[in-house]
Order: sequence, then structure tokens, then C-alpha cells
Amino acid sequence: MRVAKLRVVVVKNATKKLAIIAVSAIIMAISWSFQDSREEELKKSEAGLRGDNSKIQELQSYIDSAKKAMGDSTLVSKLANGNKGIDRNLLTDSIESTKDKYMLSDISMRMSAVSKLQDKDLQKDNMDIEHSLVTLNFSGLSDEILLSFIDQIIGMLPGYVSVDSLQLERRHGVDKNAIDEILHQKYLPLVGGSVSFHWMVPKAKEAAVVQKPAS
Amino acid sequence: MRKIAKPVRGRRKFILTVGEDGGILVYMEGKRILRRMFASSPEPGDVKHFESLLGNDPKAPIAIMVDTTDQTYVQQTLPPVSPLGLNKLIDRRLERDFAANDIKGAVKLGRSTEGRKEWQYLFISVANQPPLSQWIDFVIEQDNPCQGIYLLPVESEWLINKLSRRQTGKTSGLKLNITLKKSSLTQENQPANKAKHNWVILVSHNKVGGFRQVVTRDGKMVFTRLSQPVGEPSPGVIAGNIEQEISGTIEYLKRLSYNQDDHLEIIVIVAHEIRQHLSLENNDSRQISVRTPHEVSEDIGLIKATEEGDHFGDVIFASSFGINNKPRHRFSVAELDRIIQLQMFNKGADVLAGILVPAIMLMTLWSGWQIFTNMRNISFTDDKRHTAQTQIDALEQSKKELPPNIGEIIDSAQINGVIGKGVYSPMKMIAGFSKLLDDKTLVKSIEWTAASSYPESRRALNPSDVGKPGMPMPIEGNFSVEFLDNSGDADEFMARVNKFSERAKASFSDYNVSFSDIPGITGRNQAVEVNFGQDKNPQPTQQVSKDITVRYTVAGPKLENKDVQKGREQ
Repeated sequence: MRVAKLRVVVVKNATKKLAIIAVSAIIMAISWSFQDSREEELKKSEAGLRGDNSKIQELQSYIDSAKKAMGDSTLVSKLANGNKGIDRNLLTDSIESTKDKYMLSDISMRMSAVSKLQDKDLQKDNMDIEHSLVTLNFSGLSDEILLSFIDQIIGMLPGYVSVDSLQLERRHGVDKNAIDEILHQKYLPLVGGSVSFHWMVPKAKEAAVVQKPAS
Repeated sequence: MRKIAKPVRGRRKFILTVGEDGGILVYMEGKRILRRMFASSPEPGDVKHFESLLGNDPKAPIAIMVDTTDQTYVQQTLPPVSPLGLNKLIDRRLERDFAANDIKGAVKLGRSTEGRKEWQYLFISVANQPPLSQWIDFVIEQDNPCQGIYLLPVESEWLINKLSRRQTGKTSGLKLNITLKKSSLTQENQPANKAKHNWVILVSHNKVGGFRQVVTRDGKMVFTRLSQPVGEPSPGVIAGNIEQEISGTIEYLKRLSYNQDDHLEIIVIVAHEIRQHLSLENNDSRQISVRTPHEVSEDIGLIKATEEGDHFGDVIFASSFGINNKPRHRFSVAELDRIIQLQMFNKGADVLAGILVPAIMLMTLWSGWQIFTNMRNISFTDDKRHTAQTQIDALEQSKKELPPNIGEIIDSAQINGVIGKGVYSPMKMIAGFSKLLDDKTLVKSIEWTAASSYPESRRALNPSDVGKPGMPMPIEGNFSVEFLDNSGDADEFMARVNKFSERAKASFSDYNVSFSDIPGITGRNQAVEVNFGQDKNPQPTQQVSKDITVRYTVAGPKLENKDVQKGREQ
């Protein structure tokens, strides 16, 4: 009698407890599920914010670089030829137009084939760098005149000129005959030498290339 | 119904002591007795007040303490088998030796230390018949969880040991107001350690049973007996009955190996009136104490268990069982076992739910907190994104306002940053050197080289190595200088050269300045030959020509990369 009664009580109690546990578990599962979806949403939102911040930094950096570049006066000369690359005629014309002014007795030039510099640091979206190694052999009246000539030629060239080597040598002394010849407008090779330099000129890429922000 | 005070501490429980003459229900909490009541029989009409009290606290467990006559105790020696095998052996013996319907069990007495080391057990059987069976049915029908059936003699071990120890620990039992014979006192003062065994006889006058005697040897129950008073119920007659019972028991104990060398203690729990008539001089005891139920109650620390005028020891036994957390042996019947199993299952469900539900709720709360935090963070992040978007729009607008060829301009600036570091020109160094010249010095030739000019340096040489020991200097200029109009004296000439060198070094402080060997001047690192036989002046005097050319080398800058920058414009 008591056992049967107690069994009913136990079953009822167990069912009740089980129901409470089940309901609690369902509520917890719903809560966890909602929590998961919120976490996903938060992750997306945070990823979006990181993207936005990255974009801000990128834009800010681009604009800062642009402003800094625009404010750099030295660039004006570098871009003087409109980023058209190496123009060999420019060098030959410059030499041709100044050799008489500096009374050069003879001058020759050797210029390597124009090539693009492939250095990693120079790989740009909008620009290439053209390069040529130039060697000038010359002779004239004095070392001062020859140095002035070199200085003027280098100054007339757009882009970058980096001198590799320079040799100057006094070949003859100045005697009475030499002075006479100079007075008779003869350009004596009293000093001879050579200069070797790298000429590097930026060249804009084709317009079809889409401009990308600088990294 | 008297209102029961709410318990303050301790677990509440019921102990129902049943015997042939009725039952006593004790309701206690810790050491405090809350209620005690008597019923003459388990008949429904006699136990209504029991039902009412039990119904008042249906969660308090109830234990049945049996003090009936029909209890059989048989001491058995079992072979030295393993504990697992021992249980099976005990079960088989119990099935074999006792009736199927009996309540039975076995209490371990110990194990012999000599010989085969056999197990010593006390096999116990109680006839499951009225009134005991009726009392068990009564308890089963109550809502209170039943702990089990316990035998009063078996569970008395704890009380006996407690009373016996207390007696030994105190100066004597003199406060018990009993007169002992001189011989007894002499015996008491003898060292106990000479005794082979410690025997204690506890005699209690109980209401539901009668005269309950329990005998322990070395703390373990070995014998019990229940007898009814004979003759008229006057204190003197009862005292006489007790004396006879004790005397008979001692005689019986001799069969159980008791002898004169053993220590014997007799503890008697009777009413004050009976104690006055009790005379226990003529026996072999070495220690005797006669106490009233109230005195025992105080001795073992029970609270409100008895009153001074109480006559019976039932409540003492029940209460001592209630405060002892380690019952000696639990007995049961099949139906009670099923009920206990169901109750345990029920309790297990409660415990499981009690653990799981709060745990789940905690996890749900934690999850809820996480949801709240995440939503708040999402809101914050969205706000920040809104601000960021505004900033992006503004920057995009600024970007649109830049010149169309801004990409080329930026690239040019970056290219300038790369190439500009490697562009070298000789003009500054040559100009610097020309300032050192005067009208008596002339430069015959210039050789100027740059080891780290761009882009050659990138292809042939690590720019960071330039200028380090063993590596070429960033730039090097070689100037052949002709010193004119010398007097011919070497010392004077060297003074000119050194002066020029000093000025060159001062002018190019960041560079190494050196000069070549001078024709006609013997340096310390060159061999000298002098002919002492022919030369009048054996000193190595030297003469130099009028015009001498010295080659100066200016190389540098001296230090690493940060100074290389300085040389680029040299």
C-alpha cells in the first residue's frame, strides 16, 4: 500500500524535477543560441570597424603623402620633363649647346641602352624609373672649366644623376706656345678627363593603368 | 496540539522504541529532545498522537529501535575468507540458521589474532511478528523517510562505552550515592591492565521492554537479556529482581569465558526509589554505578531528554542512538527496503534537480549577461562605425580634391626617398679640396669614385656594408698635388707637406686623409744604406727636388650609415 503510494509520489516528483530541468535546459539553449548569434553579429561589426579604421588610415596616409609630396619643392625639378622618361636628345643637345661655351677641345659620349630599374622599392603603380649609364670623355683648358661644364650638364638633366666616377688630369703645362695658341682661339687639351654617371628619370605608366593608393 | 518550537540547529529526527508493552516516540534535534510520547500498542486508536507528531515534520527521518523479547544472538566463528567471500558466507548462514521471515543480520565482533585468524561474528535474528510487525507497518505508512530497524542491545554499545569511559575518567562513582563494600573498593583500585577482558553489564529498567541487560566484552556486545519484573511492582521488589538478574547474568557470563581476573563493571539505570533499595554488594563486580535516567541524560549531554522523576531508561537509549552518528548495524525488511530505495531515488531526483537547475540557471544568467554585453558592444561598435564612415566620407572628399596626377606625385616622392639616398656628386669634395691650394701648390690630377652610388650599390654591394672595416669607403677622392718651388731641403719640404696635410684633415674632419710616399724622402718603413768609410758625414741627410708631387687620398665618411648621408653631397 505504502510502496504503491510512494511509487506514485516518486514518479510524480521525478517527472516534476525532470520537467523543471528540461524547461531550464531549453531556456538555457535558447539563451545560448541567441548569445551565439549576438557574438557573430558583434564579430561582424568589429570586423567592419577594423575595415573602416584601416580604410581611414589608408586614406589619411594617402592624403598625407600627397600633401607632403605636393609640398616638396625638390620634386618639381624631378618632374620637370613631365615624367616622360629618358630623352637622349636632351643630353646630346645640352652638350652640343655648351661645349663651345666651355672651350672643349674634344668630347665624346657613351650612353648605355635605356632600361627600367627593377628594384623592389621602385615598383610603383603609376611610375617606372628609366636608367642609363652615361660616360663622357673630354678635354679642355683647365680643370675649373671642365668641372663647371660637368656641373652644368648634370644640372640640366631631369631626374636623378648619381656620379660613379670622375677623373681629371693635367696633360700639358702652360708655356708660351700654349698661351699663344689660346690667344688665337685654339682650344688646347691641357686637361683631360672623364665622368661616369647614372641617369635615372621617372616615367609615368600608361594612362590605362588605374591609379591605386600608395601603400 | 502543542506547538513545537522551531529547531535552531541540528538535524531533526524521530526514534521509535518498540517493545511488548508499547512504543515510545522521541522527537529530537541534535542533542535536544523536542517531544517524547508513549503509546501502549500500535493499534490505530493508540497511535493517533504519534501520527500527528510525525505529520508535523514529515521530512524528519524515523528509525525503529527494537526492544522486544524475541531476539536471538548466536556467536559464530567464520573461516578466514576474504571480505567479499565473507559477506556471501554470512548471507548463507543467516538463510540457513534463521527463519525466512525473521529480521536478521550479523555484527562483527573482531578477528582472532592467533591460529587461523578466524572471523568472530554475532548472528542476530528478530521474529517479525506482532507487535513488532505492526509497528513496522505503522512506520511504513507514515510519510517520514524511514532510516531502518535497529536493535536496542546492539546500538547500546555506544552508550555503554560512553558511560563506562566516563565512569573510569572520573574519581569514582561516589556521587551516585551508592555504598560499596571495602572489598569492592579494593578491587576497584587494582590496575585494570591486569585484567584479561573488560566486561560491562548495563541494566536498564525500560517501560516498553522490562529489565534490559546488555553485556559488552572489550566494548563489543556479547550478550543481552530482557526480563519482566516478577511480583508486585514496589521499588523493593523491583530492586530485588534487578539484583537477581545481575547475579544470574554474571553466572551465565562465566560460560562466556568471564573469570575472576577480568574487569567487570555494572551500570544500572533505574528510578531513584529503586536505587535506594538496590544492594549489589554480594557479587564479583569491581566497579558499580547506579544512576537514574535523568543523571545519565545529563552525563551524556542530552538536553531536556528526561525529568528528575523519570523511572525508565527507554528515552536514554533512543536519544543516545539519535546523537550517535555511527549506528552499529541496520536491519530491514523487504518492504522497508523498497521504500528506502524509492525514498533514495526521490531524494536523488531532488538532489539532481537541486544541482542541475541552479547550475543551468547560473549558465543561463551568464549567457544573458553575455548577450547584454554583446548587444551593448554592438551598439558601441555601430556608433563608432557611424563616426568612422563620416570620417571616411570626409577623407574621400579630400582625396577627390587632390590633383589628377597625384598618384604620380606620390610615387615620385617615394622614388625620391629611395634614389635620393644613393645620389652622389664629386663637386663639393673637389671644391673643398681646392680651398687648400695656394700659389705654390697645383693639382695635377683628380680621381673621384663613389662606391655606393645608386643603383650600382644595390647590385654589387650591400649599402649597409659600405664604410665598414675591410669594405670600400662610400666615396674616395685621390688628388695629386704638386708642391712648387721647394728649397731642396727635405725637412723644410716635409714641414710643408705636413702643414698641408693638417689643413686637409681639418677641412675633411669626417674623412681619412692620407698621402703617398714622397720621392727622395726615406720613410721609417724604408731601408737606409750609409757608407761610413767614405762619407765624411755619416748622417742620412736627404735632398729633394724643386717640384714634387704628393698624392692625397680623402676617403670617407668615417662612420656608418648615418654619416654616409653627409658624404653624398661631397
